[in-house]
Amino acid sequence: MKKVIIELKNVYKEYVTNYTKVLALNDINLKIYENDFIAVVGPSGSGKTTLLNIIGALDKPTKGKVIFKEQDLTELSDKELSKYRAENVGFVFQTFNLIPSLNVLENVKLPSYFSSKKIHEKKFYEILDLVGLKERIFHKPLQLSGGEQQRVAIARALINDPVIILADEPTGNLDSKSAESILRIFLTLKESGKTIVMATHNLRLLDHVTRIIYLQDGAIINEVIK
Amino acid sequence: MRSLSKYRISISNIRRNKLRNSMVILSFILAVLLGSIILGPVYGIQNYYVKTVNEAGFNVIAIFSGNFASSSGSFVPPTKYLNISTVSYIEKLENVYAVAPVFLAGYFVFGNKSAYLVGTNSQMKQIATLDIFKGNFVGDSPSNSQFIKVDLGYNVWNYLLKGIDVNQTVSLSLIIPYGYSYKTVDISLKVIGLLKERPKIPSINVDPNNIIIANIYDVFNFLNFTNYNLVPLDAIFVSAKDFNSIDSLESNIIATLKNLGFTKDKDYSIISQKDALYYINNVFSQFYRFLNIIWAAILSISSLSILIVMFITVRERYKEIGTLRAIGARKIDVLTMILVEAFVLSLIGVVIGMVLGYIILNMLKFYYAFMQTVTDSIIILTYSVIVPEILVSSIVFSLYPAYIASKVAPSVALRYE
Repeated sequence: MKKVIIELKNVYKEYVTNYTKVLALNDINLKIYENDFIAVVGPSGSGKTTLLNIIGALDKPTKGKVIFKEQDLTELSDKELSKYRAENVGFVFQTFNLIPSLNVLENVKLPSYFSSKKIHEKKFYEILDLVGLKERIFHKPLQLSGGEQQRVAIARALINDPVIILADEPTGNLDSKSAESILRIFLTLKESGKTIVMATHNLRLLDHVTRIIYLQDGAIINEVIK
Repeated sequence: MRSLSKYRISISNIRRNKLRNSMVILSFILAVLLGSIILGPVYGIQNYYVKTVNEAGFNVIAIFSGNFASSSGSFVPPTKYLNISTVSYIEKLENVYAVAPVFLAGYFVFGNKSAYLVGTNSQMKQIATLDIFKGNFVGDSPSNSQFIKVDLGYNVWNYLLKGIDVNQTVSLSLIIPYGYSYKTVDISLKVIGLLKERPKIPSINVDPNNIIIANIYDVFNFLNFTNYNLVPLDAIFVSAKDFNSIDSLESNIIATLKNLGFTKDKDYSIISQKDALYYINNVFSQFYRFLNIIWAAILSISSLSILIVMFITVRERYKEIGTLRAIGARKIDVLTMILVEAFVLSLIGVVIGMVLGYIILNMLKFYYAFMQTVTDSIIILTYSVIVPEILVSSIVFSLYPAYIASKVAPSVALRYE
């Protein structure tokens, strides 16, 4: 019996843009298990990013519950949600979102500044070695290719040894070669037992995931368990 | 240690947008420069006046014959003069520590310099805090000798009569008023004491370093004044027992002189050290009110520059703020990171401004004599006033942009383009 890490119960998310209500998530019920590698697929505007934001506590649902370790995230304070993100979630974004004024090493260290977890200095180098950037630790993001920047972002997401990694179209801004190398890293992470939820358009990835969730108009229209 | 590490981002951000941040730094440099150049000399001059008044003597109340502060700006001759008998009335008043008559007998000419012959008594030493370098101070009773025993002011024995020593005698020509003109009389002096250098006394034109002090009765006898009570004195100096009793003693002197038939501000003028300090501080406090308006304008410019730049910075970095929130930064972390960035920016400007201000203030000393009053301690005093105000205002004006940054929802910030 696999352990449930996060459970979404009847989650709705409604946005108001230009005086118009948009239902971004519509009655989502989802259990994310330990060691899951979930691909969230669907057309643009189907709610993939919103779903990831809700799981990562970057956003609160309009209605419903998000349960993590028997605690409803929707009831937590901003400070507690920050702690949850710092210690349990690793984010990987489509646009990398590195801090341009910091070098590779400093970007990777960044989450450790906000977490109470003690991280040995050696670990920063090990993780950079894992993503193949050990030789470029003092380079600034703008001195790196897109693929390299995304690898730094993955290293940053891994540094606090998170419970779950949320990746929002991590290969969306990359050429096929770079996308391939990023996919390989995610597959390595999967093999090492990490729980990953990834919003993606990359069909190559679907062969390797444990579950595929199809979203349309904010609702799960299909789920494939492999 | 870890909690401080996050401020590396603040520091590293300063290196971005170099041109914009340089403008902010420049505005803070100018604020410190203008603040120190405007306020420094005023602090210096006020400090100089206060110090000079404090060094004028021991709780001194000076009573001058006539009115020096008349509306015409010139000396108005009195109808009734202060004299030796007036001194005896003042001596009896409560809280009196010492009383000394002042009689300017005439002056000696040494090339293009001159020295006054001042008749007084032994108590002048305490009142005017005169220090003896060598010998003794004049006594209270006449010496009745062929020489008039004198103490020489610092400039007199050092420059005008260079080489003269205690117990030596000297014959000089004394120029004294004679009707509407002057006449010269020969006088023989015996030096009994040499005085140390001391600052000028405010409100008194006679430089205490350019005087020759003699017993007042010796001077009267030399000038053949037989009835001492008829000789008009130039001034009477009084010392109060302590600083707090100056006001009450001054009131008692005014009441006594009124009873003796003197009219204040007509027959005599009176000023105490306390009055002088009050006038100085009053004048400067009005001046400061005006300067504070200018200073507030300068401060506003630097504060607005940091406000605008931090607003732009926050707007530009919405996505970064979202990223930081995503990896665990709290609202307070974002707020303090923005504030630290603003503080460091202003601190850089302030430090450069302090160094440049110090150099410029010292350079100005070569061009303007009054700038000599701006000592290192005055510069430190000026910085201790303006620097905290600048740094606090930079924090205060950065609070709103920092608050905006901390309030933005992470999901919204991440979507921001």
